[in-house]
Amino acid sequence: MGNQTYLLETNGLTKTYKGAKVVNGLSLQLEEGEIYGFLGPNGAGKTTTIRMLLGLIKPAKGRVTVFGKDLSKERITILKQIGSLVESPSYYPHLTGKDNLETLRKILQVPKSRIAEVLEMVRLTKMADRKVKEYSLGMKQRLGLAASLLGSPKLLILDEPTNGLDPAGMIYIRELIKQLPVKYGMTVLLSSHLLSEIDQVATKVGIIAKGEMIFQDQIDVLREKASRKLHVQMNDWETGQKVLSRHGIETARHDNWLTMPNQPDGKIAEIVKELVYSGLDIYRVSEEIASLEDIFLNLTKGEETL
Amino acid sequence: MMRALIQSDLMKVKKMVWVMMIAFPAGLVGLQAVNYSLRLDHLLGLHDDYWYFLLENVHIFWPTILVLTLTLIISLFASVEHETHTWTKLFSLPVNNGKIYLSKLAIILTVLIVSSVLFVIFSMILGLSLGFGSDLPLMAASQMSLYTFIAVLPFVFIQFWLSMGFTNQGIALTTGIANAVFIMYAVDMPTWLPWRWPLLLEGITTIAPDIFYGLGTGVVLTVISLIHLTRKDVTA
Ligand SMILES: Nc1ncnc2c1ncn2[C@@H]1O[C@H](COP(=O)(O)OP(=O)(O)O)[C@@H](O)[C@H]1O
Ligand SMILES: [Mg+2]
Repeated sequence: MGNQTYLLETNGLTKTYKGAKVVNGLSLQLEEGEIYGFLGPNGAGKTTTIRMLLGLIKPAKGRVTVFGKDLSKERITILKQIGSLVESPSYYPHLTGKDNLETLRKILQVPKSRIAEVLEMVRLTKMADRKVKEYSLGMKQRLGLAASLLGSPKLLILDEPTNGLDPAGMIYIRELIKQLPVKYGMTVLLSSHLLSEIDQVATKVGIIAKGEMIFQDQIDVLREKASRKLHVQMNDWETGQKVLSRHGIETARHDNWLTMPNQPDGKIAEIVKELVYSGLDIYRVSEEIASLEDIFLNLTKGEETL
Repeated sequence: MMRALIQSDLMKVKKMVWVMMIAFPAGLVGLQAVNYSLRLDHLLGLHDDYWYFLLENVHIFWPTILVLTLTLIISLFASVEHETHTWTKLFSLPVNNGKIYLSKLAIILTVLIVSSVLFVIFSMILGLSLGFGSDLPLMAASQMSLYTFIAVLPFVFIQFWLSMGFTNQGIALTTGIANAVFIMYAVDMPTWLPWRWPLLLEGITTIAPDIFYGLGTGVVLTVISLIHLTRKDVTA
């Protein structure tokens, strides 16, 4: 694939803190119009990566290319078309919501009318003239989002934007983000430590653990990875286990359930027949499809998630 | 772009900055007003030139007050960004990192200059109300104020560096206040020590080498601190 199709691309991005590789050889590709879910447990290196994407910290190794330009050479040109919200939202508590945006608008040099537009987008119009120190956490987060949208960016980088929001706020922001590519032609990179937040929004997923990218593809591919399992409940699991083991099927037991990897239809029919012929009573046969969350937890096993 | 940055920074300035800019010179001149009103005859007997002697008297604690002012003002400018981690937002904007600091520096220096001018004005008002006549020593007063301002420049940049560079303002405030106090006892120090320079020991209207040391050291420190600040990682 020609790399000119990528809106943002990193090659072997590495950051070292006190000798530890916090981000290690990270290669990330983002195509125009995508919503890229950047997923990883806390401490995986998401924020560090995002800071490198914005040129806030310098990588020890590797390169960042945005809009086909080298970030280390054309940072300011690139930043003109990026909106961002990194970690906790930043704001001046002694200023009103509107004035907070005005301090940024002056520098971004966009029309004044843009302030009302973005406030409307995040539903803060009514609070615009109140000091931000009176805002709830959710309102501050929404103000941060409004600030990131102020310059009508081509690329929006949001680091855990729904952190600390109540469920209603989360849903609202999620819906808003979903519309951005369609309505405004934006491309979005969205980080989170919770798959459930990205699941319903992202078109592509990158999973980072211990600083390394361990999965990157369309979210559907991740779904296909869902490992299926077969559970059979019976009266005498010890006999059942022996019978199945003779047929080369290893099982795990939980109460009087035996669990095995999923089998093709014919094989399942055979298994049930064998068990019945051996004089066992079969109570239930069920199939389990691992949720995306299970896959994520599996992929990032050994990492702390909360 | 500098203009936009400065306008943006001006919006964020805490009211306390304006209060200190006016209150410190007013307070210092006010103290001399008390001093003069309590022992006017004694003080007038000490020097033939009432105006010049008044300037010398108001100047005694001015270097200390100015270093105190700049320490607090710079810390306020830095806290506005440190408090809620707005550095990250600022440095993600499409502007040169150096300009972000230069804008703040420009406002800080302007505040200090305005404060110095107010100091001159307040001193003139005091002299007039003491009946020293309308032959105002504007030239001498301006020299005194300007030379002191130049001689404290090294302190401006040390404070700028410490306050902007570290989230915790403790280090900056301790250093600044210690410097302000130290200046009061710097009379007997060797010439090459910066605490001595703002005292204008060669005379408050004399262009002494001290002033040029202040200017030179100030410029060197600005360059070093700006290079360091603009190159360091933005992690908060
Ligand atoms: N400035 C820093 N100095 C030292 N270590 C850091 C610094 N910033 C982040 N780290 C470490 O790097 C790792 C990744 O952090 P971060 O990128 O914030 O992870 P995430 O955003 O995925 O939660 C963590 O172990 C963190 O402690
Ligand atoms: Mg983070």
